[in-house]
Amino acid sequence: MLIDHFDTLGLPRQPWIEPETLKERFHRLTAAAHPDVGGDARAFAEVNAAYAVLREPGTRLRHFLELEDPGAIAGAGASIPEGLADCFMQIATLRRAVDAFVKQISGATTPVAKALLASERFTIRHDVEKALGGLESMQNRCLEIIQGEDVRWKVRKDTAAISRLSAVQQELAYLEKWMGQLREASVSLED
Amino acid sequence: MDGAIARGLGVAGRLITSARAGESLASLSGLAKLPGPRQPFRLFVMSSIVGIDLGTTNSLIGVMEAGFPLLLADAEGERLTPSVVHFPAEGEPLAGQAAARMRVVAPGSTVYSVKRFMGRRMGEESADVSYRLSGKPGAAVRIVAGDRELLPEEVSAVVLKKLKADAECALGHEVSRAVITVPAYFNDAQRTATKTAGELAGFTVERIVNEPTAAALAYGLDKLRDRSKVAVYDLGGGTFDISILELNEGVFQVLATNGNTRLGGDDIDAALVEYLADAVTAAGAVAPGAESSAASETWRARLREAAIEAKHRLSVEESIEVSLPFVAEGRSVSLGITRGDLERLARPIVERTRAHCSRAIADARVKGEELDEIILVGGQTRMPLVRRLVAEIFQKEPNTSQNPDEAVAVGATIQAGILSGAVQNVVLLDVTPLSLGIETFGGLMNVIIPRNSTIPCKAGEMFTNAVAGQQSMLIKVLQGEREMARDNWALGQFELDFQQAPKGKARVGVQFEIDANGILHVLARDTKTGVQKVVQMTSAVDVSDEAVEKMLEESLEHAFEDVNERVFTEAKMKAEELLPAVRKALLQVGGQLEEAERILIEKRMSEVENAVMSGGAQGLKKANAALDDATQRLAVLLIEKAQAASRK
Repeated sequence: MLIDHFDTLGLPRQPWIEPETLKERFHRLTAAAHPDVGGDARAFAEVNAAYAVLREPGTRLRHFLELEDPGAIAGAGASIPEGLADCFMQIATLRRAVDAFVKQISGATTPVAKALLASERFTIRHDVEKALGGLESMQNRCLEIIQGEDVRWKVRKDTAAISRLSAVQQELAYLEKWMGQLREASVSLED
Repeated sequence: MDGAIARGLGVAGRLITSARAGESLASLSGLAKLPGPRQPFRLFVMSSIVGIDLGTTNSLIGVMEAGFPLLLADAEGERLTPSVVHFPAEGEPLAGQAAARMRVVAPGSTVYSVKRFMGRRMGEESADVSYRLSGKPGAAVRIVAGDRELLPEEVSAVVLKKLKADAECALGHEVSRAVITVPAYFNDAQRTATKTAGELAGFTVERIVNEPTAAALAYGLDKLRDRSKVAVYDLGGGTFDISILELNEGVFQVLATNGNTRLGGDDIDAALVEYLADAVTAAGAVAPGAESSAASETWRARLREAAIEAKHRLSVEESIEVSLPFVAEGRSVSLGITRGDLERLARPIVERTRAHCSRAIADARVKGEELDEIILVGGQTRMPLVRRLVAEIFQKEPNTSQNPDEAVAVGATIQAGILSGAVQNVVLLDVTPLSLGIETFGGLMNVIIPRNSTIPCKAGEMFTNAVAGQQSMLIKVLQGEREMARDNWALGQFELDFQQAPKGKARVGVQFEIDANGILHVLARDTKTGVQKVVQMTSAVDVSDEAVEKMLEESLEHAFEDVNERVFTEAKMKAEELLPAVRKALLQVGGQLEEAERILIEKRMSEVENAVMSGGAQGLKKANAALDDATQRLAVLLIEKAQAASRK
């Protein structure tokens, strides 16, 4: 049986929740129900788990769809959505370049040898930031679609909306994964 | 292990019996409402929980008094207790200041910085201390002090017992419950070892709390109405932590934490000791040879004392004289050191904190400029260089409002107050610093609870039989961020039992729970009967697997190798990297150097070339260092050039 995380936090089951609203709700529940202030440990664990799922728009939308229509979630074997294929290639190439560079610079032990690689480091960092920026704007577009669907959902809950949201969810899942990978790559350039 | 503990301390049993477990917090919270700072009733204080900062260098203890955290002093009026234990040939061990005084006199039986070895295995941590370590590679580290052999937690327990006795003296009643702090980046084994140390000292350990989080409580207690985002930069004697927190009307939520449990002021001390040793030798004083270990240990212990004092003084003075009376063979040496000299040694060490800060910021999903304050704690943050670097990393002047030595203890005391009910309207939400996972096919790490998950938390995983009739399965539990299982820290392993079933039909659910102390508990649940039971993990420490054997082999290889030869090979490799790099750099930016600089670099290069030919290990090491030194501006020019190009 699936736990309804929206219900745990006392929020309406909607595709979109304002981050501030969500955080405030979580903090108020924490202040009232944390085991350290006399709350029930099991109940708080559920609150904590609910917040972990709902705070990211992608995992939140997935959970929303799971509750509304479990069939709407694309399986693990689903192919990369059209329009993201180029993006996928670009990210993969970039990640390989970062890995190779990190290997090279970790082999340099003297300040001069490291400094010789400075210019390449700036170039790669710039590329990673640019790619991250690109993903971010794609993510923002997804979030705008969700917010639009959210308004419609309040008046009309239909299967067409579910299938539109399901497409966005799939795209968002990829974008969030890649952004995570690039963030990782970006910090590894600093080591 | 129990036997070893009893052997080492002798008195442990008595103290364990005074621990009271399972007292209900709810029944105590009402007592906190009793009014007045001069409360005559013992009832109020009996319910108190002490907060303890168990530091690498110093430890402190505090208690909530009339709603305020109060740090307690010992009989001499000192709040800072050196985390040093001296084991005399006969009688009880000494802790604190009395033990610290023995460090130069009896370096072999005086244990300091023991926190570095908590929960560690032999081979994981370098043994550059004045006392000896023992144990097979891969087995738990044991401390050798005189003729005694102890676990690090037993040594820490002596410090904790001293704090407990001092607190009882100051308060006039027994204290038995404690909150103890650990570096946020401590792993499961290090946390468990700290908890054990507390229990050995006779405490019921109510909570293990992260040091930077505690410091944030100290900072935020008088700002409970605020909403802000802060970073706590905690550089102590042996460890570095960076935590990003969100403060929201009494809720202190850690968003992300990062750090390094092998990075701290001790590393700067060690670099300065090397520098002093070289300078003293250069001044003509002969150092005692390595073969006379007692004399050599005492000599280094003296240099270490001098180095620490010099480091402290250079935080306030620009240049100082270090005098070492009768430093070797009756000769006295006096050296001038400037703050610049110290900073050249310390910079590479402090620079290593930068990457951890970037990771924490990325994980917290905040932007550097969103941070309202960068709070400095840990004694090493007194160093002007550290403050400058923090300002550079975060593009903001750091907040130095907290006493760097006391903030963590104050925070531990506040957390103790939250648990006892003495502090109301404050709650702490911390995270687990390291990802928790299990080893899966192909030796990969399968993450079950990602790093920076809010604790307490749990996650379930289903296991099934790969072949029909399979009786059990070995599950290896790992902690760390690396892709390959073997690169992570092996927490332990357990056997999961299956009931007889066709392939893929047996099912056992396993629940991984990280408690509020950041310590893992594993529960297995039989899906048929619904019976849940706690799984006992065998610690990976003492387990003889391939990794241990490999470490053993390597250490044996090293033992037979000629030390000089190794030093030379390493120095030669460095020279082979350095020389072409310098030539390339000269081609790129050499034109911007002064004539004199250029000549000096060329001279230093030919010195390195000559040293490679002549084959002397120490000579080559020195020549390399001199070339490194001469090319500092060259490196800066290269980076500036790259920066200028990247702006276009």
